[in-house]
Amino acid sequence: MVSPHRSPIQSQPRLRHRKSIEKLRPDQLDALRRGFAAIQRLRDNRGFWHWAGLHGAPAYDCEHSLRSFDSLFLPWHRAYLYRLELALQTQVPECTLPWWDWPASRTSGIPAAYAAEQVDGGDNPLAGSTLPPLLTEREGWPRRTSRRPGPPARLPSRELVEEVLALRDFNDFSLQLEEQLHNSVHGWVGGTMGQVPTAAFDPIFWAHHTMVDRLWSLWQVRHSSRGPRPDQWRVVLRGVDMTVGDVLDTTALGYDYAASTAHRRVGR
Amino acid sequence: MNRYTTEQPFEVPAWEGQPSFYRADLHVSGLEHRGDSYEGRVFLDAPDAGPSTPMDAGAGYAGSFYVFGHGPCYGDEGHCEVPPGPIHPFDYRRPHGLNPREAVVTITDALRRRIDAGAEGISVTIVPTNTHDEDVGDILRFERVSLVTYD
Repeated sequence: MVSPHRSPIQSQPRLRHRKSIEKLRPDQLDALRRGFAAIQRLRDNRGFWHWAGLHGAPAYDCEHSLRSFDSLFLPWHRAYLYRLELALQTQVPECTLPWWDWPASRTSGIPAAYAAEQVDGGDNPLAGSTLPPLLTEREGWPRRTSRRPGPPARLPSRELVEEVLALRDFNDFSLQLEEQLHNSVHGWVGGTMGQVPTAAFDPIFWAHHTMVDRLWSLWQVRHSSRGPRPDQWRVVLRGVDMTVGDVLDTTALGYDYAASTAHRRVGR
Repeated sequence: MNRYTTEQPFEVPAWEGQPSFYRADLHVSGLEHRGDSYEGRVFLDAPDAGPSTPMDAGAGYAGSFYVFGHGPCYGDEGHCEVPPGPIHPFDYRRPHGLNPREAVVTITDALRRRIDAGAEGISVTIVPTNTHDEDVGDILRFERVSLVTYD
């Protein structure tokens, strides 16, 4: 398992809660924007190009199903989100990744936090990003990410999400989650998100995959199962320096999913 | 558009004259995913279906599979050529990312409707399109389509 890097004099580490992008408080959304803006400015291995380039061009480390019975799709992307979230928190400690609740967007489309081109008089770092030289060097290739979203009603419905969550077999669940929900949303957003090599350069990729990860987490609770077979737990996930066993429990990675959170200090 | 329709219809899956399955899946095997992302819409007994055909039971719509495509090759020459396999017995690398895939569409309700309507054979038509209902060209490439039922 992953060893938590914390001082022994600290009390129990505080679990961070990922929330829906629609339910972030203004200060939480501001932290998310500052986090993305900060890593988009970095050109080294702490920066957005580095992490986006692990999924597609140039590293191509991502795992998508080739066969239905040994998919590493969910573990690989959980580790990937964890690493990107750490990169964000290194720059803005209070930053957490939000999820994109697709069914809630079936009337409005791309969430406003990701759709607005400008925020407070400047570029919105969640609306898009520049692409690295490898993806722009040929004539006709765009220099920035783009989207071509479909009709909002074509996003996955609540009923379809529930049907997939109800599947009891993990490989069945993983494949349907990947192909029926995940793939369809990549195609629905279109543009940069519609191609494996470029998808992770669109900031909405990370909210999309946080929703995928949340559904795996919900499935684990509902079915009292972690998912992957024990013989897969020692498999190393490419490019993210973790094994399948490392990512089976979100609380071991320091996060959980919540509808909302509120805290009150105890008076002394 | 390279719409596909089965040349020979599938026999109705029945046992002693009665359909006996609680789930029916259509497997599309050897599926290429080199180009743009697209949707493969599956229709039963609707060989003329196209991108603008309604996605409802009356039109024979049974479900869709979605391909997350690779788009153009961003690598150097040969980058997107799939190697035949391991280069020697100690090559433990995972398969090339562009190896063909398998898509599974659960078509239980649509198949039951055709059987209830008295169909003796079931033809399958796959229409490649996108979320805008556009003609996406000759993008649909696969090796086999299989009907698998579970009782």
